[in-house]
Amino acid sequence: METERIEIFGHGIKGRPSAERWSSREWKELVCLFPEDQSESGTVKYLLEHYLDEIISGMEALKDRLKLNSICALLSKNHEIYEEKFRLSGIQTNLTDDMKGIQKEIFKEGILVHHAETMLALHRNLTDENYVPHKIISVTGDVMEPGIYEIPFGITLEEIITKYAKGVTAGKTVKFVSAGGSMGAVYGADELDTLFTYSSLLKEGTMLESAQIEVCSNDTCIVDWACKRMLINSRKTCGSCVYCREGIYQLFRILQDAAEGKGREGDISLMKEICETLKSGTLCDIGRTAAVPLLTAMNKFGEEFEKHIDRKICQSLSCISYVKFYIDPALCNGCGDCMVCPEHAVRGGENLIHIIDPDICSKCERCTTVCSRNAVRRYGTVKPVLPSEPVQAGSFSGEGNGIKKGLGRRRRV
Amino acid sequence: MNQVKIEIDGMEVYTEKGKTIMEAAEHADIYIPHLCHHPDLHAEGGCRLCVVEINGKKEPQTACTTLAEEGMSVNTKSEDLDRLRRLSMELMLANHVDDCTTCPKYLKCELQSLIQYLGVSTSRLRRTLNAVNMETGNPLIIRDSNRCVACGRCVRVCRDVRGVGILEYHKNEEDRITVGVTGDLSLAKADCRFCGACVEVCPTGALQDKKGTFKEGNRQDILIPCKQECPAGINIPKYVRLIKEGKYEQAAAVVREKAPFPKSLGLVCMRFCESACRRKEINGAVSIRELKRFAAEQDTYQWKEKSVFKPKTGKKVAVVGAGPAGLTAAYYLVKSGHAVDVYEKLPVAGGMLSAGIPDYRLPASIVEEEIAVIREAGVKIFTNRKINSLEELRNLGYEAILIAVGTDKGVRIPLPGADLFNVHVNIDFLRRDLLNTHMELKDSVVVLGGGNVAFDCARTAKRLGCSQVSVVCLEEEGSMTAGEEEITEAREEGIQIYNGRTFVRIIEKDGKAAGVLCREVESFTFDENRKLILTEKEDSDHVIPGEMVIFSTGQKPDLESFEELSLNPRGLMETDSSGNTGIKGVFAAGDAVTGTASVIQAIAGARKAASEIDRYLGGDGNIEESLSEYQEADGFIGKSEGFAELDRRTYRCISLDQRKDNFNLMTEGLEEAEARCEAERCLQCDLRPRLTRSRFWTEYQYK
Repeated sequence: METERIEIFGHGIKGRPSAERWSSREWKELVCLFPEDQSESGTVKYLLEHYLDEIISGMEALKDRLKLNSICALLSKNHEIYEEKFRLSGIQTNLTDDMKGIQKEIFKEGILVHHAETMLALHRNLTDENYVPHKIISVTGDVMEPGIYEIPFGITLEEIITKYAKGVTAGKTVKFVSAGGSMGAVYGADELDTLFTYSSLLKEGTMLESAQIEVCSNDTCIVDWACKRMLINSRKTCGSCVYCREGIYQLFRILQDAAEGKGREGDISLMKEICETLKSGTLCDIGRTAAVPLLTAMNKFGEEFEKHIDRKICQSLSCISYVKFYIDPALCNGCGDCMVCPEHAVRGGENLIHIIDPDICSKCERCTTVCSRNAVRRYGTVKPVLPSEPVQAGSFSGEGNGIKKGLGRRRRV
Repeated sequence: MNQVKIEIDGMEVYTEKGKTIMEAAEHADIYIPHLCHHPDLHAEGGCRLCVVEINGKKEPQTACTTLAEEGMSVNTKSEDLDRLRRLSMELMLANHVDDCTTCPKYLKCELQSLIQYLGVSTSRLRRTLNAVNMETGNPLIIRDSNRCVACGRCVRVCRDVRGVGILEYHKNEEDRITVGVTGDLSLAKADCRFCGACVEVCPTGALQDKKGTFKEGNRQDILIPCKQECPAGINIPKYVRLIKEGKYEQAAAVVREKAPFPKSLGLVCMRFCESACRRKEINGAVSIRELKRFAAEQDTYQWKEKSVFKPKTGKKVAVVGAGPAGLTAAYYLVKSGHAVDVYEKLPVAGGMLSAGIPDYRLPASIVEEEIAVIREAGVKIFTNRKINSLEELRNLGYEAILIAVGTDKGVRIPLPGADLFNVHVNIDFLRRDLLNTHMELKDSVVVLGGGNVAFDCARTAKRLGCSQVSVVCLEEEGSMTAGEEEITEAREEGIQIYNGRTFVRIIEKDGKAAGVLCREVESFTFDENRKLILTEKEDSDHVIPGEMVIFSTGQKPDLESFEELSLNPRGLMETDSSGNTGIKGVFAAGDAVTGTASVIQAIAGARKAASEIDRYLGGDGNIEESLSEYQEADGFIGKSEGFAELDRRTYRCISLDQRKDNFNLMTEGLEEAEARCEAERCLQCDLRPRLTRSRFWTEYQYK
């Protein structure tokens, strides 16, 4: 059969060529999915907007080749406007507002299910002699131009960032990249030469179900980031298995405590135990991959987790429990906007450099949001040199005020 | 070959092909920890407590989802497995109420027993439980989500075993998964069938029966309250289901299995079953009596083919009294092969059924029909034949004697004027025609007493043409012993009811009764000797006029002929629970033992006595018989829209005009469609005990 020569990769089939699947049994019907969930909506919209004709042509080609009785497109209600186009091509459509629910039902004997992207790939494969498999991905985070890109398989993460997203946001450096949506693995700055292929990403557990790449710069706190990830992933559980239902949420709670200064001895090993158990002890890919971001993050940034839990330090000054606020005397213009402080922790006066009393400050960040000079800053273990009393704006040199340097630098034993 | 051999913890275990390791282990009495697994439910493998190591498999497998294969070697205990199980338990417990002792399931809880088995504490985890209020708003079932471990057993039993499917995993406000009712509806709105299967399979205290729904006791009995409450133990769910299926004569046969008076019971049973019916917590008990009436009316007597008659024994039994107790016992004794003669002092057989309960409630013809079946079975009934001593019967060659004389001596309270002309007692009044007592009927009648018999007297008087009929009783409205319908119908017929009065004396005029001097009562209680203690209202004396006064203040047995019998202070016969009087060969049953009770209690007592007499005469005492077909009740009951709203249907009274001046049967039973609809309302409590009870680890041989 001609299709045997077609080298395309099915979406979500874990890197196995689609041709294998086509020849594996007798198929009667094709259902083409346009799945819409939080992480994929961007790519599906992109596909519909740019490649609808190609997708339809791919579907028709597959129908002919596999001698299918019928083909059908499964669309979310939001994309109703595209229904007409399918109809004109004689393709049945099925509109749903419960995409997740209906996806569980369509897998039946004789029904071949493919993602729209696979159909696009099929079309291109058939029409372009020099076809190179592509993947539509979305790049988010600290890059110059976040967006949706079509990239050929086999380039590196580094290339994706520099060539497609036009590099990291000005003034920042990459700390890590998360590839594969909310369940994807974390790659450190030293791993940006990782190839964007199924096989190389799968090694870390990334499934590429959703081809999302998040680039995080140095001011991202890995603990806080992992915490948010675990909360998102905990919401994806169906509830059937204990490890997935309770385990992911437990990870979130431990990380939340770690970020809030309530970490306990043994948390790291506990988290590792839960992560490892999730990998083998759950019934579906959601459970098996949900902790991949955390586990890879702990493997690569273990020290940062330890610092949060054992020493109550957040290097990136992102976890609010571990920081104090100050007003940068070099930037303060003495406007007094920051006097809105509900705790009256700010002292100052007209044209004077304002000072936050860290003992009174409740870290509500009201001052941060009102300051037009962006002068409200955070500090961690090292207290910056500050005037002891409000002085004339612009007059502070930061020398000879008798402020001890290096407070809190002592290591805990 | 359909059998496979596997090894579990070094033990050889044989099981059928297609069974799981868990099933094989259960069969071999080997305990593998489990929580979401239940023998009646399809396995999911979610709780991971049943993980086991299998030779050749890298990772531990769940025993409940893995099929046993020839030559498999399974290990259920290891440090790794223990670690996995404990983590799963810890995670569940982090989201579970901390304190077991306040839980109604304390010491009866599978989760608690697992905590004990695995020795788990949650101290290293974060508590993830966000406590919510217990849901107590539904009838019959309480939900305490704080104790739910989301094992999904209830979801699966409701969906897969019952076919109702109203429970599901869904997200709460915090996006956490909980088990709840579809659409967060109330159980009634969600078309719950209230079968209780979810409560039955719940391994924790998350789903509970409301307190008081079931009594304490043997699980198989208490879970079917109607059957448990029926003194004769009639299999009510079975015949209700048969009616639903349109198998009416089968239904009649089910009633027949325990009682030879189905039609009479269909009209006058006190229906203890209905007061226990769980449906009453939703919208009124199932009209069980009316269903029985309907079934009995459809009886084609085909069950007779199955009726068991044991070989003749040549033994003779005498029964004194042809009421429901005497005739029931006689019927079963004849079937046990004995020759039975029943002696009745009245000219008719039937006891209170024919000479007591008025025809408008229970027509004599129906009682006769039922007695005809008993006669046909071989019971000889001698009417107008009063027995004067036990000796008399012994001389006639009877080897066993059953005294079932009932309580037919009306009690006359010793008030001043109680012996006046025109003052009668209830039973004499109701039997005035049979006893040939001359009673001058008057226009105005006062009946003293608040029980069903008092209303029988009052309504009879009304039907005889008395224009002014009053019922006076001690009890307040709502606590009268008469049935509610009896009171309502009597009121409709124009009978005046005076509650909360005590009787002082009967007023005399020209040597005849002219009324009753009554006094209002504040409250009353009975002391430990059943003596009445009254608090009377001062200056509340008043006269309720009546030229005829009928005492309906209780009855006693007439046992003067049997001096040898020991009586208790209430004048009733003393027997053990099987009816032995203490005198060799002499047994007793019915009202004469229990005091004035009900037809069904008389029948139940008589069945026990018959069984005991049979044993006494050398038989095995087994009077049970199976007259109806075996019923494999389908537990897959499915969803029924509007199930909780199906209204109770009951009998209709014929119109006042048509009933107030005659003794024709005044009720109409259910039509066929109504009966089937009423049967549809049944909650089918008998399905629940058919679910397999999950065993605790302590109950296994190998654990």
